Amino acid sequence: MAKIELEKLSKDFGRFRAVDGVDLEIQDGEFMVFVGPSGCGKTTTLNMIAGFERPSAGAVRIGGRVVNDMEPGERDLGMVFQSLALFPHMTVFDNIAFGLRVKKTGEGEVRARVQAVTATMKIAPLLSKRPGQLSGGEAQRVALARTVVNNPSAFLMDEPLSSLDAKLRVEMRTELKRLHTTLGSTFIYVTHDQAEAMTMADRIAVMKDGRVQQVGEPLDIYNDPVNMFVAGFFGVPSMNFIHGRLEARGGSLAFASASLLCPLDGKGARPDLAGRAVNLGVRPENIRIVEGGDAGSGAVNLIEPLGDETLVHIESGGNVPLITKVESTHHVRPGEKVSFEFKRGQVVLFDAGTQDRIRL
Amino acid sequence: MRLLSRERRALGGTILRSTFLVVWLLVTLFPIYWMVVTSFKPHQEWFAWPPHWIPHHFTWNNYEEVLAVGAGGTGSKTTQLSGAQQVLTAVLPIRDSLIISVSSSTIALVLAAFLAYAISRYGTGGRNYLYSLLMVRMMPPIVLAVPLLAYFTLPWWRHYLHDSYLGLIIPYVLTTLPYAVWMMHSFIEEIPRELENAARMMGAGRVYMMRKIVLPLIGPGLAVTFIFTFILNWSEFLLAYSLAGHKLITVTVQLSQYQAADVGRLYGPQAAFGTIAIIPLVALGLAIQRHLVTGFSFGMIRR
Ligand SMILES: Nc1ncnc2c1ncn2[C@@H]1O[C@H](COP(=O)(O)OP(=O)(O)OP(=O)(O)O)[C@@H](O)[C@H]1O
Ligand SMILES: [Mg+2]
Repeated sequence: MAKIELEKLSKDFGRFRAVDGVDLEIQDGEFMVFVGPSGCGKTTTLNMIAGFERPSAGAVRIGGRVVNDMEPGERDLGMVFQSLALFPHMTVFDNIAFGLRVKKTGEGEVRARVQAVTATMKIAPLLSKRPGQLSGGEAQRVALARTVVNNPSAFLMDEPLSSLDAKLRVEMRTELKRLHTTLGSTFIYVTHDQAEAMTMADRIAVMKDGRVQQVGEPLDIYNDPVNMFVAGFFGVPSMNFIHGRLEARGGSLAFASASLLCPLDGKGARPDLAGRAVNLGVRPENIRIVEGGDAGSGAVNLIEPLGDETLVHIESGGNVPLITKVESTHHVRPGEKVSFEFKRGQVVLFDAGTQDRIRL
Repeated sequence: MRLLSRERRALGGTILRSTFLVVWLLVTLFPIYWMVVTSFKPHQEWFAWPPHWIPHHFTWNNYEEVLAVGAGGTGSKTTQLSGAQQVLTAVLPIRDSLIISVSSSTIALVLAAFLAYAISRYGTGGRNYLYSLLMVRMMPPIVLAVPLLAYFTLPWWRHYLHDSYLGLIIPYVLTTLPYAVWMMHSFIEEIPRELENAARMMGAGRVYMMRKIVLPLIGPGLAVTFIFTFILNWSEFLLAYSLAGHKLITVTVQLSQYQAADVGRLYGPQAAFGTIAIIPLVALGLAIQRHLVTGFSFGMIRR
């Protein structure tokens, strides 16, 4: 049983606050992903859970017990490090057996358990090699096996796939997911790759500047971001932002910028919001190029075919071109004048100052 | 054209560098060559002009002289040297220098390993500790020699510290410790902290982790550091001459004393002794050749 709770967890390095009041509950058996840009405090948070860093304030609870003063080895956690941290002077077997031997397990049982885990991870032929002789993917599996064999109640992983090439990374994602399903243990997984977070997580905690911005299931975060940072962080290419203001139009609100005019459907009219400077956010797949589109028009200035879909950059008077994602069967030409509309209910508004979400 | 001239310039650079290195090599290797050659010459050839580049009459006599057991060369079989009774033995100084150098280097190494680990992992001594340690070594040894002589000859402990093993081991440990700490620190820094964290995560205590992870990984570093301090101690003269030199005579002090009344300077035995004296250094150097480069770069290339 390992429910992990973070309570107002903070960490200062000198006068710099790396982690700032993180509150989070990670359920038993959950796959939780910490995601955020470099330097946002993901590793520091993980290190506090692991016990390598002492919290400056707040508490870490594992299975209901505050573990702030416990040694890392007493917390019943397993960790896979970014550098993998395989012991270079030991064979793969000795690496995997390390934790069992620390606990003075009999050699017979050590052999049996190492063999069992290496069989499931398909690394049995590597047992007598040294870490230096392994490929990236093999080393990755060994590092996983070394953690799995100790049967910890929760797994902590700090960007474990970042050293792999793109193809292997995608394969290992699937493998990790499968491992999570088989083991049923709690996973906390750190990454700065939004795609990794989306595909693997049960829930995502988005971090920035030491604070958790939003916690939720991947699609909720994608579709319903709480601020511009979260909205822009997920999705490739990222969400289009258009600066403008809100105007009252015949009892409801509309968004107006230099070149766009877009009626907004809200549950109630919010006359109080009229005149507010805002950023409108719309994802590339929610912009449709149509004859007589009501949102605006512009000239196509770049086309990027992705295969199944095509990215079309439209010069529409803003600072940056709008990027739309269309079916690749949809033919447009550079220089062509097109008009477009936004899919109903698929635009979001952010306050231009605070960058927080405005809900209508 | 441009390319050609650039290539030619690069080639010129290479030739210049190679020439410089060859000249440098000749300059440094020549004295060693001359010493070894002289050690196999009979005394008529020591001063021969034009010089004999290889001995005309090869002899082991000089080695027999210096390796003869017993001070003052008694038991020496030599007939060629009329100043034979003044020839000094190499055996006792070599034994004493070995005892002193090995013990000082071992003590310095153990202390340095722990200190360097503490500096690296716990920030012991603060940010600039390593540099202040090295500053200590900027002090000329003579500054140390005279005060130490004064202290060591105080009546209470004179018996233990003057002209004795301990009296040299203590200053040798003190003077080589900064280097040893510096070197061990660079080796320890190269062990990723994540390795230690991984071991801790799996429940390993400090001692277990030291034994299974840290110690095996700094093995080469320990060897290189030991050899480095050994070389410093083995070739130390000033302290050995001023703090000892009567009962306790080290290799370097003994080497300086080859004189005979009638032949003058005893170049042959001195050269033989010198050749013997560098054998341990060369042997140790060869044994760890592979690790020397990393060791002597002091970790300065990285970071
Ligand atoms: N020991 C330390 N001393 C001082 N500052 C530190 C220390 N460790 C981390 N920091 C700072 O704390 C901030 C958060 O670091 P952290 O390693 O947690 O970031 P991260 O989210 O893991 O980033 P990345 O994606 O680059 O790994 C960074 O600005 C970093 O410079
Ligand atoms: Mg990190």
